[in-house]
Amino acid sequence: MPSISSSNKREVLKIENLSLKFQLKTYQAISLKDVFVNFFDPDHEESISKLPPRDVIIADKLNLTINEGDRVALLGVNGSGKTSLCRCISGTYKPDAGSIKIDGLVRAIFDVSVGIDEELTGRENALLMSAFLYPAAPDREKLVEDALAFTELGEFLNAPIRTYSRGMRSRFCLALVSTISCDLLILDEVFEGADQFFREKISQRMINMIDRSGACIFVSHAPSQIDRVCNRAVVVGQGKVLFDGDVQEALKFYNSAGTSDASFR
Amino acid sequence: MDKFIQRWKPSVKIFLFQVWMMTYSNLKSRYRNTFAGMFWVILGPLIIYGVQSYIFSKVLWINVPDYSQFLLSGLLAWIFISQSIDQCTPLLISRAQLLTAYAVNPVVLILAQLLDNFINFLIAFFILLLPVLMYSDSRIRLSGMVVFPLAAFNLFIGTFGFCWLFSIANVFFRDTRFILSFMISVAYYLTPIFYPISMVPEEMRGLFELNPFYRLIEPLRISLYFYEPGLFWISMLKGTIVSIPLVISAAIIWNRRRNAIYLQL
Repeated sequence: MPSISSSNKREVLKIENLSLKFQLKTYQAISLKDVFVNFFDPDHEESISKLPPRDVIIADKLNLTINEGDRVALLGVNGSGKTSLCRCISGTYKPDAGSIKIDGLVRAIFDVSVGIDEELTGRENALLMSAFLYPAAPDREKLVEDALAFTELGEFLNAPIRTYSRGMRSRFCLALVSTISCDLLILDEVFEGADQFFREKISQRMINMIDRSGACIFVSHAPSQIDRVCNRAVVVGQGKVLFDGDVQEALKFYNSAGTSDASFR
Repeated sequence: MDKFIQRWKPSVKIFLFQVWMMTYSNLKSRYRNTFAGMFWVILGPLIIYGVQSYIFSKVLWINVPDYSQFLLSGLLAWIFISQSIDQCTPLLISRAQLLTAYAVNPVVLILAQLLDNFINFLIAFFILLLPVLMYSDSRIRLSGMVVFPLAAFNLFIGTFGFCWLFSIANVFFRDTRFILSFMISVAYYLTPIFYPISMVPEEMRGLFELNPFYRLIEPLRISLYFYEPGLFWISMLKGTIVSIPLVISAAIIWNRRRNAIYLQL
């Protein structure tokens, strides 16, 4: 597996032998009615007990190190476990085995289309979001004001967030999340809603922020965005890191492997 | 011990700050678009109390001395429990986007909703308490009022345990909330709220005593209606035997099923 050689920079993230799997039946939505029917009629056509006892492997002894200054694109086909890996790093999922060591503060954002409370205004939502994004920041209110100014949403900031378009929500969330540096920032397909002008603007802000301190994991299916933001790329599949290195080479590897090898998934 | 406090103090502080911010926003959002704001939310329990108090004391002539005080000591607590369960059970599903977008701790959402209801419960309770206290034959004793906060705290903890457990159950079995809605209506008649437990036939009384809702409500009733220190502390002990294991079991289930819960959201 090609890999970027480790530098002398601070290790922000070190994942060793990470394993995570889900039982197939965990994906199935069931009701108490199903449990009741299954109890009396286990041979029923749609019985929940008929699912094969198979595991879905998300990570299989996966190893990955990210250093300060790394802007890592995480590539992989749909269902290859990119988001699950990010959720493990952000502390949402608990690994079945292995270790995740983070030197400092991690901030993760997985969806920019959602406000915390749809009835509250953008300004009120921003204050509430800041309590979750950077609760310990001493100058929280000033940071929020700076972020709001960056959004260029003007008077819309005093309107309920339910009236915002997807693009406006995207501007709003990206400005808030990028206003203060952290040691590891995880952005999972969050640029998709923003218009191209704001993408340019926010990309530069992100790069500046990451340059000041820390590292970033960037999940996207847009090669141009990856090329602009990232200085390293990792391709994941089959629960492992399949490629780790230069962005252009990673994109080539991803495209060729994606079309030639079904087991890439 | 010092090391333990030093390690956890910042996390607890941030957690409490987030719960407060969320509660404040819930209150703000809920009352924003209503004609008389908080008045409507509190008016509901007051009307239910007024109607029940009149019907049972003046129409059905239930044989309980100072019935309005008796009802006050149980009904508002029941409304708090039933409303909280009704609102918190679907919470993880209805706020799934938020929970997965920003890696928000779900307990923050549950506690915020519960605090919102608890504030309404306390306001409605004290509005009704004032005329009762002015009543010359009031049964309420100062010593009973002193221990009232303990009983109210145990009610809060027990209800939190129920809400946490049911909200997890609703993630896996999506019809939980509908079944619970029916069960809560039935439980109202099976819990000695508008009738004293002494009215229950002796051979059935043991079963009624096991009702966990009653175990949470009884200490409040003793502190307000017929305060006797011995009875109160025994009732508090029984109440704690219900509330603490509820929270511990919810925490254990959350911890064990955490990955599956996030996967289902």
